Amino acid sequence: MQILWDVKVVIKLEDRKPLFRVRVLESSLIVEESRRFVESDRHGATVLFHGVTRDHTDSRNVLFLEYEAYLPMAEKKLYEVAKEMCNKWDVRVSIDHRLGRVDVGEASLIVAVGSPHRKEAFEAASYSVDRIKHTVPIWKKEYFEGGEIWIGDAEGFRPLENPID
Amino acid sequence: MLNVRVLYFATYREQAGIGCETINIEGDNDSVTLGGLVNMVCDIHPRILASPERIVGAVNEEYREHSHVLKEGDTVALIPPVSGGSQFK
Repeated sequence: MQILWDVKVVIKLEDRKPLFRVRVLESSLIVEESRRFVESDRHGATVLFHGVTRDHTDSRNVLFLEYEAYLPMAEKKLYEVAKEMCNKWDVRVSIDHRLGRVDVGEASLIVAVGSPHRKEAFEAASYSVDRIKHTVPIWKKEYFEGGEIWIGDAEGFRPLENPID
Repeated sequence: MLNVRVLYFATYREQAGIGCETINIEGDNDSVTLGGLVNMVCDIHPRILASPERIVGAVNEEYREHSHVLKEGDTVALIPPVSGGSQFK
């Protein structure tokens, strides 16, 4: 079990206003923090993805999840995802990923996207979750009634392939 | 001679029973590739069940092909599959 000593916040500045923020942290994630970070008078829409631990996977009863990361690389890859989003769409982005134990109903990932128009906000948010799940070295272990298992998509994990446009 | 640091995570860490080690490769002057190192690692740690050719590797925090040539002091991480999944799940 990794112990985090160093929580990193990466902020990219453009026109003196932060464009995106990515964080990896071990404490509870707070949606309002994410929403507030991306808000702007320019924006007509904020889309929030709130990824939480579900109480089941197929027929298994899930007790909790535990997240582990290759920390410096995970931060780097989250930074790249946020940067890709800001390059493709006119958005402001906040990505928070939690490590350690995440109980049923608690959030492991919050992505907030603010944009002048909802189409871009929805597209960017959707893109971000898929991209994170395909490129960021963070793994989850599922503890269920009767056992535990690392979750991973061996067939689909091909991080060297280019992003889908 | 080549010294590389190898990091293990998630399933590989549990199977190998180790989080981090330094591997020292002595021998002929042929360069060592990421794929070559992964093969060696799977020999050293037979409890890692994944086929070496399918193991994704990162060198100095960047994903690399197995043909990537390693340099002295590189940090290699064996990256088990992340959750992936389709966007319609």
